[in-house]
Amino acid sequence: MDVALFIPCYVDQLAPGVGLATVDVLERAGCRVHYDPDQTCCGQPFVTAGAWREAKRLAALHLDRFAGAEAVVCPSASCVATVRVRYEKLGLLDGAAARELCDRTYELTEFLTRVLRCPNVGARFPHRVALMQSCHGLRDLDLGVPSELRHAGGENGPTETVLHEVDRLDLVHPEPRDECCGFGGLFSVQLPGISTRMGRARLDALEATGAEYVTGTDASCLLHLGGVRDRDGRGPKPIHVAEILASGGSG
Amino acid sequence: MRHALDAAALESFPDDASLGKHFDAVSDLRLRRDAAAARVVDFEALRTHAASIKRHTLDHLDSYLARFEERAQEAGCTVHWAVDAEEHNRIVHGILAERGVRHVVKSKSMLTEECGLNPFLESRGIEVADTDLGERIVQLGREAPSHIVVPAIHRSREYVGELFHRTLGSPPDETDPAALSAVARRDLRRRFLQAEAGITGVNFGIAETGALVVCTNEGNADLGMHLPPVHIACMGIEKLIPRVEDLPVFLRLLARSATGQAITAYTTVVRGPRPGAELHVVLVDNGRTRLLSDPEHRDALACIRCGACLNTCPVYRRAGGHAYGQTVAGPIGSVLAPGFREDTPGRTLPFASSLCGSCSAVCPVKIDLHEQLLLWRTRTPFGAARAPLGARLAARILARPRLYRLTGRLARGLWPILSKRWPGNPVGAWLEGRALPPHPGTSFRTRLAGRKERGP
Amino acid sequence: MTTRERILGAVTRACSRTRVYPGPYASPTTEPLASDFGRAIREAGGRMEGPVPHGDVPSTILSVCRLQGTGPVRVTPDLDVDLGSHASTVDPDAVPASLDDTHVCVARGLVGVCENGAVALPLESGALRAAPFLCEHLVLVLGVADLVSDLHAGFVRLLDRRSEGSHIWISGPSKTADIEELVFGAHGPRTLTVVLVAD
Repeated sequence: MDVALFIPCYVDQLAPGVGLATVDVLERAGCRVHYDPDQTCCGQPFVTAGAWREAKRLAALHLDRFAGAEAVVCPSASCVATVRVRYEKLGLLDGAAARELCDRTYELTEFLTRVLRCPNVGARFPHRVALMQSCHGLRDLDLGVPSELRHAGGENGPTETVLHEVDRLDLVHPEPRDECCGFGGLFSVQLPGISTRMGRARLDALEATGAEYVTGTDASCLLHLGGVRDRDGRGPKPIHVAEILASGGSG
Repeated sequence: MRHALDAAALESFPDDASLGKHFDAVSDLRLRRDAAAARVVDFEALRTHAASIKRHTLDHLDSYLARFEERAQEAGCTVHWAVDAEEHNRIVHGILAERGVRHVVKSKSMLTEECGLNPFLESRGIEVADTDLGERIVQLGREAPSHIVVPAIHRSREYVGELFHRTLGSPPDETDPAALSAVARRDLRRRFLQAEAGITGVNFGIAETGALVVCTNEGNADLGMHLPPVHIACMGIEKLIPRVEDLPVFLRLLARSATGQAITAYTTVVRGPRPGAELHVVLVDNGRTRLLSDPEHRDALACIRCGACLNTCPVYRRAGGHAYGQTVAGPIGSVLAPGFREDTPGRTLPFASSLCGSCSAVCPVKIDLHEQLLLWRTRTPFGAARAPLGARLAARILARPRLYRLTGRLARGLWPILSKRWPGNPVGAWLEGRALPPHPGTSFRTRLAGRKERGP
Repeated sequence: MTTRERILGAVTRACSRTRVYPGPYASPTTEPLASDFGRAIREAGGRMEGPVPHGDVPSTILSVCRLQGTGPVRVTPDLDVDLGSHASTVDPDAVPASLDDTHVCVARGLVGVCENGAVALPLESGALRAAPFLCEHLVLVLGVADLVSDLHAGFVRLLDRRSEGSHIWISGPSKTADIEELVFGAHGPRTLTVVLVAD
């Protein structure tokens, strides 16, 4: 299958390893990966800042760049949520073609599980890993069952599914399961006191699982947690899901 | 750049101990809600139905209001209308003054808080005793409530012990909650028996019958309604539901969402005054019609004031109600504030959120709170005005691939400098409590290109 | 223009008249079980006695009263149980404040809801409304046949019996958790006991 790779601006600049791992994973799963080197940003920071004009401009550029792609895959649930959910809500879409492209934009683990139906990519990661499901993934993209709705039942989401397929990986969950880590984009610098208190609380909950690593679908959340961890000197090591899926096993 | 709420939160909870207490008390309510929801097999169906009833009601509110008024009058109520807080206060005062009332008991009503009723009456010589224990605590302590369901959740037993000793004469070192509650009970029982009028809020108004519904755990609203000869019920116009048979849908959701109880200890349905007494209903707008006119945000009026969104909000848990500077705090408060009036200090509250969406997931009437917060951001405080210079500049850079790549290279070149704290560091806010990530090396784009060159 | 006209006018202009009434709510039907009712009452901090046979009701009520200590026992006029000289009947026209020294109030419930332990009482005169709140301990008498499974059924049953008058649902003693932890008897009764009468 042909896949257009959508690499968030912050992954490109601050967490390039996540991007490379994503390429590896998709290729292992049998995809032909195409990367347009002139892509920049989906506009998420402007969407959340309420800068509508700027968001519209970047959204138009983004949709234009990926027009015609069979599938767009991105290692960031929040960026996918921006494209698939927020663009329409904020009136940033022009026409049916744009709407269809948004519907063909997927987060990596949901693409593997729901589109390719190939949750096992032959990875091995012999460590205890705590899953921190990001808010956008959980509540906007249906990548798992949020704790608020556990009473209604539901199956494990795609992120958990692919992690369970990783050889020798011991998957654990923090308690509370899914309180926000405190990144929230601009929130992290507009309310830095509360943001870091949230990050510290999340790390404490993750640490209590005895996990060596913490993983998730958003490098942004992981960079924020990593930053708190590095300042405090304790807590599990952040690693993106793509990096776990790309490790060990056959190439 | 820094939001006022961040500093206010630190002021409310300067250390881990004070923060921890508030955090745990509020988080516990969310856990109880989860446990209660798990025991109701049709909980999600109830939410869907309740959401639908409320939206239909809001879409036809004029006819429901007219019907409610007609039925309430038939049942013997006197119905008043108040366009704003000032008119509400004048009406309530008028009813009391005409009857020479000097002593009033009042049960919990966020609407009367919103209107500033207590100071208005007190400055005109009418003593108001708030009878909900949490409200009584904040009243005696001369502060505002910090949570819509548990008004004094930010206060400890030691604080209440000292407060009651000073104001109610309880023994100096008494901090046992049962003993302190007993002191308040005795004081308030005396006031209930002497009160010449009782003021209550209204949880639901039933259009079909003109009935008022008041829910409490303490029974204070009942004592306030049934003892004095005059009952004044203050109700926001959005509190209506169409029919009697709609009421159990909401009652089954309200207490479970608020505190995890299956139902409050007392749910009183009053249809007209009792024989020999008066019942006045004051219907209040105070910005509600403004919000109703806004198609993007009107559904926030479906709120049944359960407080579940406050209990689950990671920001509210750590900031406390006072940090919001509004009558109603938390996610719903942040959505209502910019809706009720144009120029409100609360208009930046929609930015004080990480948009995690937990609030929307617990709302019993399915208000998409976090989406509404986001929509407000596109309207306030910038409105039609331009985004700040930094945002416009950043957008220009991101719209041009080469300029974007150049800026990226520059930032990475400055990494060692940006990683340190110094006044004016553009990433200074990040560095409060966090380290910058280690130098990222070359960009993904560069590395991928390098790989391709090297071949498989 | 009156305020009423102004507000209704603004509301009319704002109303979109689009979303329809969803119709009646179909709740999953279950058996009304006395054991579920008892559990719900206990969870709310109350107690349930029974089901007791009809003949044992007076003695059950009196032993509950004795458990709570001594003091005036007052019953509502619609209570169809004879407690003899141990209790007096509340005069519907009494000044409510005169009931302030009530130790135990005994009243008849109309409907009981198993999912939440709520019991419906009618609201009539001032004295009758005040009695269940001024007392230290409240006892409600209810027949097993008066139990329904959920609150939807509760309102339907209430309508069958009372048309649409004022009423109250009581599900436990008066309580508060406003000072850190749960306390009973915030303003109203400290205890609630439901005496369930067998068919």
